[in-house]
Amino acid sequence: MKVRWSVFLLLVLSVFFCIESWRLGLGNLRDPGSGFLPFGASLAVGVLSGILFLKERGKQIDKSSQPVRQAIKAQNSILIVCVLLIYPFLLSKLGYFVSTFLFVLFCVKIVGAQKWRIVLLISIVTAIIAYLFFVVWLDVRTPEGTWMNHFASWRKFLWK
Amino acid sequence: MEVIDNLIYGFSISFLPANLLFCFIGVFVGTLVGVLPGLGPAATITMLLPLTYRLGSPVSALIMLAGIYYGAQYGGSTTSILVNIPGEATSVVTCLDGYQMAKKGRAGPALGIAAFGSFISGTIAVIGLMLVAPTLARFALKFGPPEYFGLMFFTFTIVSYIASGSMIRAFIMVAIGLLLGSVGMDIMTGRYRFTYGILTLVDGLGLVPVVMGLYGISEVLLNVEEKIIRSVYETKIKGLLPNRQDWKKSIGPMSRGSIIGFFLGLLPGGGPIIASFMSYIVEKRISKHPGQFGHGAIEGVAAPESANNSAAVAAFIPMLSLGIPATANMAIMLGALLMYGVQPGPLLIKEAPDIFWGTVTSMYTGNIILLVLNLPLIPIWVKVLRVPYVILFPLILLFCVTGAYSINNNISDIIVMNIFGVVGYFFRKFDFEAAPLVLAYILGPLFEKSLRQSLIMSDGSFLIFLTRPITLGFLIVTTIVLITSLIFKKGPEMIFEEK
Repeated sequence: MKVRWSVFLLLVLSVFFCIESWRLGLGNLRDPGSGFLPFGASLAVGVLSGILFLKERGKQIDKSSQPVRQAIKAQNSILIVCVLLIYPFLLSKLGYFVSTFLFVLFCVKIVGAQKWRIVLLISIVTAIIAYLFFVVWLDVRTPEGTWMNHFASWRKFLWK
Repeated sequence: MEVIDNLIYGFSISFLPANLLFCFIGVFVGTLVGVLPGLGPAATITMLLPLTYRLGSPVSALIMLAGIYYGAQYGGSTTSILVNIPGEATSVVTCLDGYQMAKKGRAGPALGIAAFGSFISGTIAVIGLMLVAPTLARFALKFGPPEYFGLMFFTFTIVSYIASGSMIRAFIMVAIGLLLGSVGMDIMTGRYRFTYGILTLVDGLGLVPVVMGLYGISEVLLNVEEKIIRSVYETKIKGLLPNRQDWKKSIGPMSRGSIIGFFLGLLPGGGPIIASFMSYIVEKRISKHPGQFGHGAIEGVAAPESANNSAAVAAFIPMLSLGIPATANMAIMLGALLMYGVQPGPLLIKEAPDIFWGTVTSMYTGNIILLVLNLPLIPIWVKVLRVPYVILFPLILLFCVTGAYSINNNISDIIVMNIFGVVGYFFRKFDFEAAPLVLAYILGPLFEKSLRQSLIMSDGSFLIFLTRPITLGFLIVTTIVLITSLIFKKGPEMIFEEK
């Protein structure tokens, strides 16, 4: 099953890049074009995947690859991927400190399932250290966050 | 005489207070990642790569990154001996006798001999590096595009041969690496390839996001699926200095390990892993008491620990003098230098002697720091081992996302890294090794340039690769390796079976 899936995905990749490389232009042997090497590489992916399939089909009967057990095991990694995908969005909206705090909070809570008090403590300490290290010491220009800017302007307005 | 002048010049650079500090930070962080299972030097080097931009000087950056790399070889032995879990793949074989020694109450001498062995072999390899690299660089001045093509083709084949798992899978990874390397502007025609109007892809896929994703993120994704329990062997670590008997038994294995490691480190794909296994096998074969191996023989610790360190240093030779990395770690190091605008290769020693000699001499200093640092700090490393993964992994992820962002202050780099994190996770699940991909991805543009230039030179004839003696030599060896792989089992598998 594992081999079949990987070969299928590799073949899709191979066909896609073969077409795209062809479009770029292969040129000729005297003057190879932009698509020359990518075409060769994608063709190699396709041919080698085919050989892999013929060589390894029916080879793996792995008990650990039972779907239910795998789904449970993969739950943590799926959640972490979700957090990672949301983080760039949060970073642009909430700025570095708040988004980092939320990022660590979710990571620790999802996988660690610790008590909220400990999770909050770890998240705050990590966010402060990360901010001091990256933003203050190393001078990494992190986004201020559009929502935080709105919040700051509202605060100024109310303060007046 | 010239060598001594160069050494003095090198030390004048590596002894600068800032460079000494970066060397210290490098070996300290390297030892730390070596101690921590689940965080390898490749991921760490990439994670810290963006930070080295702030150092301002490529010499300081390379000194620090090199420190991480060979420091990790030291650190890996600590976990092998005390926990029976190798911190690095290079220390797998150290578990066999190191942990047995710890169980017998001899953890101290095991850790001590590992540290001394690493120090001695590291120093021997640095001397070798100093002597061999300039000679190799002079030889490489004869290389034109066909020779470089032959060398890279040979490198890809050997790396695929050495890679764990099947050779076909490794070749697939090489091909994917070449595809990834071709994203962005075609250096010969100026045409954009596979960019689809995405601004981030115009300059090609960034090294840091790709490698961080493949190594750092995917490693975390795999680790969070399993509950990692580390039980440190409860023993009092005393008497770190090996006794006379230990020294007598270890000096031969250390010397042989250093030599084996040095030569295997020079070969593409060889590197520290193969060197440690090979030296263990050699010691077991020539030992008068092979039965003691696996039951706490100190030779079984001294030989592999010396070999892996020696190989780690020797791996710098092809990277610095030919511009062709032998391993994925060296490929990342090469990528780092390219990002700094430094082109490693035959002209590096002439054009940037500060980088070459500064880095080489910093390795002497680094080895001394490691020896001084490692022995007294072993109790601290043991405590580090007890840090729960639930605290560790958000920090790794945080370093990755901030590091990827800080390269260009671009959120898209985080997205690219996340994509490669998921891709890397599936590669690991489907038993595809990332190392050949990384190597091909970094060497891809040079490989393509050499191929296309060779064909233009020969008016479209592939015979150019058979008429140039050096290229022909590389191709003959490559063919032999390919035929051997069809007839015999692969190298590492044989070694594992032997073990």
